[in-house]
Amino acid sequence: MKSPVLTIARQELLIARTNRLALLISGIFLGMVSVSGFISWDSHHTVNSVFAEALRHGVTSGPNPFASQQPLDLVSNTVIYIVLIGALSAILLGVQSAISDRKAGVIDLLFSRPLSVTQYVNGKFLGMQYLLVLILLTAGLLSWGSVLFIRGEMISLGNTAALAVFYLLAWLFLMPFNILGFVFGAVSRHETSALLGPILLWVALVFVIPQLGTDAHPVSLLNPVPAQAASTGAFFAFNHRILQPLSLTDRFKNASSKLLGLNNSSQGIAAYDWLSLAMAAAGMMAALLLVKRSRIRGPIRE
Amino acid sequence: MNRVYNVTMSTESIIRTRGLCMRYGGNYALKNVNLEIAAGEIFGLLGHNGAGKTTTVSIITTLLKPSLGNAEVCGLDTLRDSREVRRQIGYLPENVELYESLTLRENLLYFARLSGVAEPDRRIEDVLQFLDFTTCMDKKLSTFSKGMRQRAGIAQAILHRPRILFLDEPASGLDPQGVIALRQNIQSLNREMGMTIFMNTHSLSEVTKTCTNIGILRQGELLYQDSLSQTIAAFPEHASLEDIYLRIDADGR
Repeated sequence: MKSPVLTIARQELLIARTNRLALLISGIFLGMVSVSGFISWDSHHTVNSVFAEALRHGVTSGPNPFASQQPLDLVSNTVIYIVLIGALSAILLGVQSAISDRKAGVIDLLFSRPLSVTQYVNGKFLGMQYLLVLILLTAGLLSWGSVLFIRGEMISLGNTAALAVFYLLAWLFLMPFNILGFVFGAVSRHETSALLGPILLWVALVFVIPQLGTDAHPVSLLNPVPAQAASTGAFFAFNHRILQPLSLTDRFKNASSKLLGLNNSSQGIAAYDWLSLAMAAAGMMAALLLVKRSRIRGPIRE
Repeated sequence: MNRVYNVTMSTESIIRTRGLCMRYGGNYALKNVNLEIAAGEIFGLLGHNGAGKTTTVSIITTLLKPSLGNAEVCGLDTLRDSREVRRQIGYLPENVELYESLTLRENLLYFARLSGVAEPDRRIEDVLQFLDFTTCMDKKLSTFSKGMRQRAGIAQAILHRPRILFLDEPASGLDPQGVIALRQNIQSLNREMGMTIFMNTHSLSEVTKTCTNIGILRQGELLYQDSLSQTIAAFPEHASLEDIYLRIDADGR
């Protein structure tokens, strides 16, 4: 006899098979991850060709500063795909997890069984995390495979471990968005607000908050650089200090850059960034525990 | 230490409510409802739309907390012992909704596991055989008609062999064939499985053909409760249950 938590988690996987929107976004995410290596390789190749051309015309002399490329440089774009498409995918998985039962109209049926709200929410959480980990595991294998394929040589154990830790970090980063989606899905009256609510918060966390702390061009936020350009204005500098812990994207990008050894940043663990992301995940898990039966609404309107 | 529940096994009241009140804002949906239903009855709760029938069932099935009063099922308090109460009951809401994208078997497996049914596959086959519904086992719910959904709903409600089955407007939207099939299912569940049936309805003809006992609810107040035969005997001047219902309803105004 299975526990209700495992039964609900198992059902989550069964229903996810038929969730076209979440499957589509997850598919796009995995597709982008698999071509990420080729995009990095191609841009690096282009820069080197331009440098070689410049050298040939005597425009420059000396060694090519871009000649060497760290193996994990090839997955640098994945950092941004996780922030953009990965987070959207996590939100969608969360929203769909909550509204699938409401759309099916089975909430009353479920709670007429010997099932507590905590068991229900824990089962949903377990199912969602299983799916999220499955997606990230596939993404990790695709990244590893593309680096191997492009470089044509075995990836060192150290780099393999760094890649694995990077995807662990990605899970930590995506989990709050996933839970956010679930909470909105559980308590919203309409499907539209269930989707729009977490997406607006995602926009705020990914674009607005980082932008408030820097006077850099907004597009620069999409670069997988370890840190934002230093601010020249007191206003931005003050905001940056205040909003730094909330800027999950910056924390993730910074920790990822260190892990992958991008942009000449030293490899290692960025404790402050990890702590910020872990606290965000823990905070959202606590929010999940506060979901009450009376707050889980009945059938949802489209 | 596991709590020992004193589940009533006699033919005494299997459902009892005392002073049940439900208030939404300033309005009372239920006012001091005192119900007594004995084991083995097929009880029909009659009333107009908005009379409080669904609220009553929702409280007894532990889905709602009453504003005042209490309800007992098999001698268990619906608030204090809600989990154990849920093991004793099956529930079929008015609009049977299950997972459309899944097959009947997948849907039933989920509810069987949630109810802690041992050997769920075997139990599902038994239940579907009982309902003469085995041919639809591997069909998706999205292909089901209203009548088939109703049967699927009954199947999910009786998987764990509950002692009481609650049906909220079960005949609503069914064609005549569906109504007849539903009636036969209800009667055989009562007769062969010994299930007590509690159904909400405003179909008087259905009550006449199916129920052994009735209750009449009007604007949240229980106006009347007795066996169907006693009711008909008590109003000899009225030709049908419809006339009796209208008379009781008018007297309650």
